[in-house]
Amino acid sequence: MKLTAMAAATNGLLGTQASLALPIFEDTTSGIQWNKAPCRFCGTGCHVQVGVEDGRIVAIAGDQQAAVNKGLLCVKGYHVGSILYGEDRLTQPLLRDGEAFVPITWDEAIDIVARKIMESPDRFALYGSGQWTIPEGYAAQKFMKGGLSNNNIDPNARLCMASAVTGFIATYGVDEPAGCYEDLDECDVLITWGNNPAEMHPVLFSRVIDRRARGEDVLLIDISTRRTRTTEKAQEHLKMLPHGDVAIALGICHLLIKNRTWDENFVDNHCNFRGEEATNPTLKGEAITFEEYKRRIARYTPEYVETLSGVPQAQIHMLADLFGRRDLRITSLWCMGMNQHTMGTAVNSLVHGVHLLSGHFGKKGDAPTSLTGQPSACGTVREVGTLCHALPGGRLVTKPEHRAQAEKIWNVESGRINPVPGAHTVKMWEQFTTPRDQGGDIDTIWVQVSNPGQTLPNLNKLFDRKNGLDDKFLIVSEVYPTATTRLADLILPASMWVEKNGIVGNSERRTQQWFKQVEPPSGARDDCWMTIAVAHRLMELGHPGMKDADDDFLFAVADEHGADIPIWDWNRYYDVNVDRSLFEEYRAFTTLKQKNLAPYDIYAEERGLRWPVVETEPGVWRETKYRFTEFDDPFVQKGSGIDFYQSTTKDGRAQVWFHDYKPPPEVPDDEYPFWLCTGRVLEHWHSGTMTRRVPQLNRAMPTGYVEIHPDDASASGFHNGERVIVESRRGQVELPIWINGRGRTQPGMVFVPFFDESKLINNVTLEAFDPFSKQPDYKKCAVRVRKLTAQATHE
Amino acid sequence: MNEIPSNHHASGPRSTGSILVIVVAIAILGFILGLVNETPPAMDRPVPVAIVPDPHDVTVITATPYWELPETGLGPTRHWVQSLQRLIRPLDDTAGPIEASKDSFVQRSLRRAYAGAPPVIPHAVNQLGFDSCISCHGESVSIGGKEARPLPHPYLENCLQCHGTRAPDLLGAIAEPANTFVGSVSPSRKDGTPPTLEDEH
Repeated sequence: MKLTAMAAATNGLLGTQASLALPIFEDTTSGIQWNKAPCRFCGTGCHVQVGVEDGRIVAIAGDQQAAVNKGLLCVKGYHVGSILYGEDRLTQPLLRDGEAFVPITWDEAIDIVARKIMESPDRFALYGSGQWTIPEGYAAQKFMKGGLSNNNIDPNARLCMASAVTGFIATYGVDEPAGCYEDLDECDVLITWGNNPAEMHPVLFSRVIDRRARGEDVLLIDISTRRTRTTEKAQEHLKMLPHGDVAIALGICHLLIKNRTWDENFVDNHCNFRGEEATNPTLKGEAITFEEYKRRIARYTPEYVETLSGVPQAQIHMLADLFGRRDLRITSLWCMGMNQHTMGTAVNSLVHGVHLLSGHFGKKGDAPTSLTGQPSACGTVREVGTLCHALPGGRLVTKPEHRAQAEKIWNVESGRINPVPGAHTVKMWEQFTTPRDQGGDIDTIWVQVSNPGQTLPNLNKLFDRKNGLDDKFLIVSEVYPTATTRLADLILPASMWVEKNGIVGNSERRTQQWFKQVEPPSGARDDCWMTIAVAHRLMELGHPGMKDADDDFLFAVADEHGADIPIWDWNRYYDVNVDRSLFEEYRAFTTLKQKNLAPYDIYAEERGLRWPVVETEPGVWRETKYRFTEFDDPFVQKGSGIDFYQSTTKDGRAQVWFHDYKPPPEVPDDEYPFWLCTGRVLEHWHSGTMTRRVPQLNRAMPTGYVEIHPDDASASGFHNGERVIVESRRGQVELPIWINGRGRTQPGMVFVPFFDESKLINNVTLEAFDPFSKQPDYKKCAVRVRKLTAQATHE
Repeated sequence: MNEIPSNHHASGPRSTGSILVIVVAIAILGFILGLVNETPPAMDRPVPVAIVPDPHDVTVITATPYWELPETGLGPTRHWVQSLQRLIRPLDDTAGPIEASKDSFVQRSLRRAYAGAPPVIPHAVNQLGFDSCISCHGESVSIGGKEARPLPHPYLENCLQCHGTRAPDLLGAIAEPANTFVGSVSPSRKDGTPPTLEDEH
């Protein structure tokens, strides 16, 4: 990495090759050292160049060698360096003493955590994150399932993309998108399903619309409940009612059948049909014939779909006609709109079904692609399997052979892993906030890299009830005071991003590595170290699970001479690259379901590689852009064209699902007449703990707000900027009205972003979740909006 | 005076008045045109000049296809240079001089987190229609002594992706977060523009 600046004498204006200068690793005009890192924020996985001078980040640049972003960033990415320097960084462990916190030493803090777990190991839960790095998540996973024999580990990604996982598994038998971002360069039509990439995945959105600036035709179709910046760039907008996406997907399939425009060749060779079992439906479903599928889909005529979705029949026909054409390449994008949905698994499966039925699959630009919101929702949660039912490498705790594989790799005795799935997110917090004597069977939760006190739905029920429960203990590893730390009993100050080594996995299966580049503030330590230190303390206290079958510490790391390195001692933690050691162990899992990863050192040299990564000749590692396709996937036999080799029916075929439309659990009525949709904004990342501490981002978006249609505002006598109360049956929040601002809702609907910890919209949301994925629906519940002065009409 | 009849039935006086106005206008115009023909204009704004193609020049310029533009080293053509030379340069600013003072450099750095960061937008914007950036920043425009600089990267049209806006006042006072980040003042990127989204061909 000794490349020097080649940026001189370039002409940026014309975008010639000359302007694509190599990134500046070593700035000869200043003392700035440059190094690569994936951006800290979303699931896009842009690479940045981090400029460090005198031990501090002083500049950020887009990484021109990165295939994801090719040098471009969004406003969050350009300011990512500032997130380390909020003045209120947590720098010492804090223990609650009544209403106050008292500083304690790290030794005391680790001891308290270990003893809390030791009190009742089965009543302990670990709540993690899609922002865990892969080694952090892997260590937590091994600690819980391989050490404590406790499956109560679940991530915030449950709230984010669990329905995408179940959709992929139900359809292909294996998780994660088959295509990649290159589909965005190749597609003729891009459909955004309840998705606003202009704000949430801006670099990917620009990748598409900048094609237009180069004279290419891309038809952008936006399906959404409100007008957004994405809608403004779309040629077609399908304005739908909440939950309408299910009906729209069914309507497209109906017309493909009716018009006989489905892809007969693709369906005959590569698809089965599937419906829900009558009782206890599962992700496997039951086989139905194509004739039965046609019979069931016959009901979803454009007329009926219009009544369910509010989308005019003509637009349903337009979509079906596009999918019926074989000469177009069509890519679908979705994210929270389809995932945070009580029919999340169903609508994910149905959109895959639209692509399969029409054969818009497995060619460049023809892809159903779900995006993730966190930097390692894919890498850590979905691949390492930090979910209450999963093991690394797509393994399940309920399957004896899967447990045996994990026990072998972890070198623990047979039977160590608990066969019963633990508590998923909503259940975990429900149990934690229910008093012990009323059946709440989780006493202690350790939160790492997440902010559930802001992001759980129905906070009054799932979080705030903890307040005053003396038999419940909340441990929070954090970098800043948050909505979660306000109820914490013990706060552990954490290091973040390039203050530590890391590896993450983005939305297109790309595994990305970085090295530590600056020291954390004195007192803050790595999350992965905390897990290992607690495990070691538990071993000292005599917990038998913290040793492997050879009586060695579960996280033992030896140097090249075979001597143990005491990585549980913070002063020795960086004597060895713990990330590298954990990653190499984890790699053994990745070949079990063809999600093969390359060695750590390969990633150190790359801007990420997309799995499966296979060694084609000694030392040469090849990534995979398009899975299941003969032309690119190394696991597909030459000559077979397309092979769904992880098929749930074990016949190389994908499943085209039928699901009936089911109405949402709560709909507006006379008392609560508005739909509430929650979401994100460009400038703030999720709960805003990092971005709200960056002046440039905070000035652009200083407060949460409620977006309401002008007609509804006028009918209620609200003016722009007026502070009002938004309330549901569960709780309320005070917000300023912003009409015709960042987005525009339809009549009868309000939108509120969730980033503002001083205005918690999740006091209002509903915790109803998808039956398969257990992911809550943050996009629809019934609320009313009233003036500050008006009293509630109903007590 | 300037009485405007309320309806068209009162046509007598109105027609007379209209004719009078037109006659006077033609007279004034004739007078000005006469002046122009004789002496150079003493005006402080540019006068349109007709660009007459050279009849002897039969060179045909081949258009560059869009998809080749990023790889093409485009430069000024002969025609373009000639046209430019014929134009009379407008005055720099019709609304007052632009101060290249110390203050403007301070302003410049206040809008950037570090040298090379995309500057924040110091004015309100249309939150949805981000194409509107081009209307002022497509070409250099001066308004009220302030200059709207042209985009150095017109091929990147999603302006609000990179450049932070300013929240409207109606959202209330902004509480500034305390942050100790100190940005580099030496340029980290020599070309001063964000990079391009090129294909990997």
